[in-house]
Amino acid sequence: MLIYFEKWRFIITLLNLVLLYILLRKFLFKPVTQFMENRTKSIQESIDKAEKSKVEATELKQKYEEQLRAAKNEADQIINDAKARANKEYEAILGNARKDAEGIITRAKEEIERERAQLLKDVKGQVTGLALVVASKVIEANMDNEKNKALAEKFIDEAGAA
Amino acid sequence: MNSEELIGKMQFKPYDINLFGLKIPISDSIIVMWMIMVALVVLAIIFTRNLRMVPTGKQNVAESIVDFVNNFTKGSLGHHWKPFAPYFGTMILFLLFSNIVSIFNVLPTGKAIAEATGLSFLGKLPEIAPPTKDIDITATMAIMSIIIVLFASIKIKGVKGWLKTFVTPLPLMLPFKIMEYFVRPLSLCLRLFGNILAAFTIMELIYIAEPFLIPGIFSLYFDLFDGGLQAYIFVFLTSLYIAEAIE
Repeated sequence: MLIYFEKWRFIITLLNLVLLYILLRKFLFKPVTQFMENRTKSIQESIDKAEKSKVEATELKQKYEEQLRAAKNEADQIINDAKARANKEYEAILGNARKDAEGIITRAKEEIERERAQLLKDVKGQVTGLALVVASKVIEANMDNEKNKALAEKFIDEAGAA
Repeated sequence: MNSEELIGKMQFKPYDINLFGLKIPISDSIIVMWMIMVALVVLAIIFTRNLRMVPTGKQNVAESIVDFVNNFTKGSLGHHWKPFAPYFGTMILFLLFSNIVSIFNVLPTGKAIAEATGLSFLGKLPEIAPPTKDIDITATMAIMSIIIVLFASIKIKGVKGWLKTFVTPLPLMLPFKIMEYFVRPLSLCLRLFGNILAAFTIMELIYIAEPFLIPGIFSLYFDLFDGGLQAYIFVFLTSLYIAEAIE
């Protein structure tokens, strides 16, 4: 029998093909297609995510660089200000110190001058007294009068001036 | 081998199976078809187990087959590809296996295994010949294809749109358009049947003439190349008809 059409074989072949279609769709085409589509989607998502991260990273980098530059500028500013202020302070302190020192020196000089004058005056008085004593002792006369005293003072002044 | 034996090989052999007291006549082609179906489903299950993100080994094979079928369907049907891809895939895999199944004749036949092991039921297994050399099977496939063309056209265009296809571009085309629904499955069915039967017969003749080495070389063309080509042509024409019906 080369060509002989029979309805049962037709029906069984049809059922076979439908069954094969259902089984292959269930076990091969559906899962693999779905799997590959999911993979394509996930790869695309990963690429998109990476791209986005890159852009974000670049933006962040720019932001940080800007911030860093700003911070550096600020720091420079602060250092310069501090230096300027320190200089000014330094100048001021130095000036004050100089003024104080000059004041102290002037006062000290005045004090010294005054003390010297005082001392001189004291010494002059004592020397006068001493001279009077010495002179009275020497001339053995009572020279304790005004005239003698003036005389002796005059002598001592002359001696001091000499 | 005489000519009667050769003709015997070309024909299908009828079997009868009993199902709930109903006697159903089948043929050796249907038994081979069942064997192919079991092989396909088992392979499909094995090849798609443990799908991984990074494909290796057998997963690559499954992916390239599915990808080929999907791309083929997308290429011919455009954005309507999705429901048709598994059908085209099933057709092409089944036809490919059917057409080239003769190369498995190097394996021992069921009869030889039965004699060696004493498992007598194996002796009933037929010799492996392409089921597509049986016109029952090619006719069924062709009728199935034309039914799918019909339903795809009605589903996508609507009944009105489908009826319109009979009179476009000219009402004069009506008889030819109606005839197409009969000519197309007939040509699909006969092309496949004729090619595979002819290749099978030629291979048998070569076996008779020189059984050593020569059949192997010719088998490359008649079993592998012609079988693969006919499988592809069948599915390609079906896709062409569907594309024309739904456009």
